[in-house]
Amino acid sequence: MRHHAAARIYASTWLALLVLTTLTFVLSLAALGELHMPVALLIATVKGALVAFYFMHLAEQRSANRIVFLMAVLVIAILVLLMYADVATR
Amino acid sequence: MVRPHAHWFQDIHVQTHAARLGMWIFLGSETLLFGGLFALYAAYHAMYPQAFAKAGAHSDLVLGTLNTYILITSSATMAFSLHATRSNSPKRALGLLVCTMLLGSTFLVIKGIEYQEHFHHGIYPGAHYEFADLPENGARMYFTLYFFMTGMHALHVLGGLVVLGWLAIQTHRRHLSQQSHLAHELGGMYWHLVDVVWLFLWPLFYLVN
Repeated sequence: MRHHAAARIYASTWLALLVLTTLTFVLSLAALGELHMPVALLIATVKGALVAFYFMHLAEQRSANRIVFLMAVLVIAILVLLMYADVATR
Repeated sequence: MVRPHAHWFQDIHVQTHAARLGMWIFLGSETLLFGGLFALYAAYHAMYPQAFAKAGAHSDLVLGTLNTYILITSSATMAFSLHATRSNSPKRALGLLVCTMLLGSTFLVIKGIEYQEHFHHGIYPGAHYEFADLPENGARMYFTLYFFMTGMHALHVLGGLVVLGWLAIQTHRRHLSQQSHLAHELGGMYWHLVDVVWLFLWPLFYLVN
């Protein structure tokens, strides 16, 4: 029973990743102006989270692992955002 | 074949958790490695927005997007291969590991084709850049970042293929079992990281315009 549940989760995650990739591509053709890159990176973050939580089993592991994951995401987000804001406002 | 836990761990569950936590921390450090490069990209993109958009138009969107689908699928086959080991199906696990390696190799071949195309136009990293259509400094910085970041990623794909190859051998020799297969899980985590990093590289270098 667990066997089929796991396989379904992997298949659903794979499908979601393919759909989100296609969505990213379609949105890149729309007239979003300045929002293009932030939107694309936001969807990429969702995709990365799906890989982490389901392919890498973060969802079912202990919370310490999720905290490490969250910290890495936060640190990089702060680094990149502030770097961009710094240079763009000079 | 189950190994006893190391004596400084209370039991096998604590040891397994320590191994997983350690792997997440290692992946976190790998992410910070790329994070520094992403910060560089952010800085130069802020400095040269038009040059980045123009230079971005010279990447092969079809090949780049195909490579994205390829790596996503390789992550799926990787997850299924671990599932097979956990379900006591080593033959299926081996087949899926080989699939993952084939997809990863295809990614590298496509990347090589792209690099060839760039070299053909005189697009090289750093001081060797000689692309007549876009001589400006901003374009040179874009392509230098492109080679450095995708090159660093490609090295990680290569390293991942070595890890997968070792896992395939271990699976073939039945050294991994339903009860004891932590190496398969941790090796898989490394491969998934390689996929996630590319998920961010793709918009930066293929959707920038």
